[in-house]
Amino acid sequence: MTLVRNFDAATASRGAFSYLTSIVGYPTLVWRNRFMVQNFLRRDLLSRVNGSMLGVGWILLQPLFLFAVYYLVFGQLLRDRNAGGMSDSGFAIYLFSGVIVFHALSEATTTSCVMIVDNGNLVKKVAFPSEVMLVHVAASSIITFLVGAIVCFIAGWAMGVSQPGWLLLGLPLVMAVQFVLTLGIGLLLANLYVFLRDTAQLWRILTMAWMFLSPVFWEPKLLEDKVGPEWMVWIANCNPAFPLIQAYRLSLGGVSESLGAFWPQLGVASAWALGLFVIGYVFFMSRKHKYSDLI
Amino acid sequence: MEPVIEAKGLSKTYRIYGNPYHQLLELMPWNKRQRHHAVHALHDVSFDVKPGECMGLVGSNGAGKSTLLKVLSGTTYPTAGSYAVRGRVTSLLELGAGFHMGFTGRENIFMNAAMMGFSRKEAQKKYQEIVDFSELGEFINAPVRTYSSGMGARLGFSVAVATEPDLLIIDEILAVGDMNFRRKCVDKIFDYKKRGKSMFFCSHSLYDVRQICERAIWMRSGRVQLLADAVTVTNEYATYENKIADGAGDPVPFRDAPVVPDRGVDHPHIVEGLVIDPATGQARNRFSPGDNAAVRVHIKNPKRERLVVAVGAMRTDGSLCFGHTTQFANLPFDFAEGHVTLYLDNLRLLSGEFTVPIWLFDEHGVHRFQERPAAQNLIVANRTKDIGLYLQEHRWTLEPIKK
Amino acid sequence: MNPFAGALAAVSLSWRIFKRTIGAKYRKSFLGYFWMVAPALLITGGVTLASQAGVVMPGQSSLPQALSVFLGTLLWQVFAEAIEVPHQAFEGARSYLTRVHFSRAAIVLAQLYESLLTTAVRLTAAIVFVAFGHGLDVGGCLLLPVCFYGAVLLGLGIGALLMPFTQLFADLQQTLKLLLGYGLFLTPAMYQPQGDGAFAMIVRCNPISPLMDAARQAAAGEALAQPVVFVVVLGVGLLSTIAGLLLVRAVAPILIERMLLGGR
Repeated sequence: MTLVRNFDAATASRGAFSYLTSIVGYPTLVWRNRFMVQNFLRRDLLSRVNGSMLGVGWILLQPLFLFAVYYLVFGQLLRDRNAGGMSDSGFAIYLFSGVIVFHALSEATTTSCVMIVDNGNLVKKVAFPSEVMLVHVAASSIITFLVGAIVCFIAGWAMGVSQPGWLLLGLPLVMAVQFVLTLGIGLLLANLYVFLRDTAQLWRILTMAWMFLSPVFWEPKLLEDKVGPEWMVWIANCNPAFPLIQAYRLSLGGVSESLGAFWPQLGVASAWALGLFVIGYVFFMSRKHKYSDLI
Repeated sequence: MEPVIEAKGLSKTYRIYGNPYHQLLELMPWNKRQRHHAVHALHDVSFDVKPGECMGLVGSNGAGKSTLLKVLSGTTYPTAGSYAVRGRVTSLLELGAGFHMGFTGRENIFMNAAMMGFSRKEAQKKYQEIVDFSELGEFINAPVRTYSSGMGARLGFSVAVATEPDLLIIDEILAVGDMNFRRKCVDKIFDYKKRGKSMFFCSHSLYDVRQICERAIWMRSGRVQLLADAVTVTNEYATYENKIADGAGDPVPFRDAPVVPDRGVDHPHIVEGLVIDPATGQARNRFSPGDNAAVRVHIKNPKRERLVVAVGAMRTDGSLCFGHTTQFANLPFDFAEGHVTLYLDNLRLLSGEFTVPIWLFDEHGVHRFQERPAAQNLIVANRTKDIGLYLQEHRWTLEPIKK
Repeated sequence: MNPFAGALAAVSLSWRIFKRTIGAKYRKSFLGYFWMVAPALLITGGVTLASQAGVVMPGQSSLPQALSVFLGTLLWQVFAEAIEVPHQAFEGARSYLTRVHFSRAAIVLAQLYESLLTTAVRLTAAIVFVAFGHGLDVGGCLLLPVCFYGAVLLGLGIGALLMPFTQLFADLQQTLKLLLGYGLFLTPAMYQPQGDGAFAMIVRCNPISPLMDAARQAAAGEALAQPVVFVVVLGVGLLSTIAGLLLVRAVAPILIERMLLGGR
């Protein structure tokens, strides 16, 4: 007979660092529970489509709407500040590519935040590995992103703004990095939210600030010009979304020297992703045994 | 063999905070005062369950039974102590807890199976079995929100038992669906027991616990009051409960068993029950203490099911003077028609009129097919002047104390 | 039951529902009411920083820009949340609407109390900030509440008129959510659009724009620039609220019927 489950209250409360080693088993755990993840993902996608006439269209419409609003607002304000003197279509594609990445990121993290508590019914009543439950949120956001990315790619190409090349093959890599990053932040937030319901409100506000501090609307040149106070420039540089967004733009065929080089950007992004994932995982696991009583 | 469950010193304390700020203050390193009051749901609970064993759990409301079941099924965790569970565990605590109302029964089966750790292949293999067992038929493709509550529970039970667990955690088995489905559930559970799997069974029906379990735990305010064989535990607990309720009479009556609805001609039934004189085989209902009497039950059982017969004697005030079953005597039978006779040698009952109820159970003694009294009451007339219910073997001595 | 007793019962019931939802909402939340004004503070901070960097053009009001942005954002929040009140009321009550029979008005009322409470909190914050940041005269003190509760009325009216349709069509609800989530950018909350491009047109047609302008002028102690438009918007708010609530009353049984049938 195989040992399936054991629990010792003394070991469980030993602190976050004792869970560091178990992180190696996480991919296996997810793989073993892939059927569960698939089902959650299916349910998630279906419930978005259910009862609406546009159905799948919404997946694209949402970022498109955001894009339209931002384009209207920031197009007027920012265009002359973007020192490179981008063309209208250039700015549109630049903005749209930023919006789809950030939209996917912020939507998934906000959903992950309330995931454990909103599914309290499951967490309290069914014994299953809840650390796997956030995987489908990250996966779903990647799918959302991909839909937007295809549109962005085709539009960029058609308008002659981007010059797609071999780096397009790196797109799956960037998506993998985004997946890990989303998962890491999601685990961290979900864990916090169980203990402190303010987290959701705080995160909603933080994502807003985060978006303005990420190169969604502005070009990194703006930072070099040192507009805004020193600390803001510093935060904008120390920002996991920064290299991620730029890596995406590069792999989709963006051609601006301000984007930097693909591999270094990807490297920094993956360092961020791994770091946040480890922290998120370790904290999540160290408090997992308290969840069902707190929800 | 290693035990299926091994629990050592399980304790669970809930912290109740007056308001959320107290919780935050308590987390602060400089905090010295305790700002919550603790509720001890479990206190130092240790036991083990061996493979193939069924462990019962009894206790009054609030004794910590549900908490213990939740800890064992893995939905909540103890604050102290440890446990190890070997093998797949399925709990029937929250049937259909993971169901999503907007999705069809089919989708929910897959979802639930997935959460229990099944792969797609395993789930597809089990799917038909689950649908068949749940008797949902066409409804399986309708959203769960259109189900009646019984249908939902049936689906939940079907999914749970299809997981082929090594350990089944049950809270009041007999509460799912209509009577026929309940019978199916019980059969499933016994079938499962027969295959050498283990169970952890919590119930308020002491009768069920005694029928199903080998050993049992009696819990009182979070602690194990008694851990022994099921008969001892149920007796002790029943005595204790009666003391509280100031009730009287038999602690675990046959009457507790649920009834299987009459299925018509196929239904096993008692044709006639007669109190007889064992010497002549003729009906006779007047006896004296010390006589030999017998109760003959004529049974028809067209489908040749395995049956259990119980016979008792009940005083007019409703207290059961004795009750014997073929199950306790280990005499299973499955003939299509015949006589089952209980010999009451050397009758000990004293003067009085007793009804003779006869029960017909399924082979596990859990479900009751029929209950009917014998054709005539048993009447006992004393030859001596003894008074009371029955003739106790006795003697007297006289010893004056000299000062 | 006579209508008066019915109304009384609805009010007392809605008060209990309200207390329960507020309790549940702020259980385990430590900063509670702060979150009602936090987004406005953040946006104000962001716009201030951006305008220091010269990115955002300042508006044209005698108020300090930060205050002007803060007022505009708060007013937008009040408006956007009021629009959602009727829909939210029905969504939140879904679980017990189909099981217990009680006054349907109570759930909308309960949700309305919440909206009024948050509005009061925001209004207080606005008055405090204006008083410290610019100085406040009596007229402003009187006019600011009118602007804020005018925004509630307007939002409530629009929300109630839309509610039957948002309940029936998921797409409409999605669109509305999108508009409310990012509609802030389509108002003069952060800056006044110049010229007459498409964007400026959208901002001017926005029903909340006159209220925002009025609130700023009131806070600055100026006379209202467009008093007629202001009064018209208030009147429209009042009328649409009355019409909307009547509509809700009329369609509630149909919606509940649908819920019972298990539809949307």
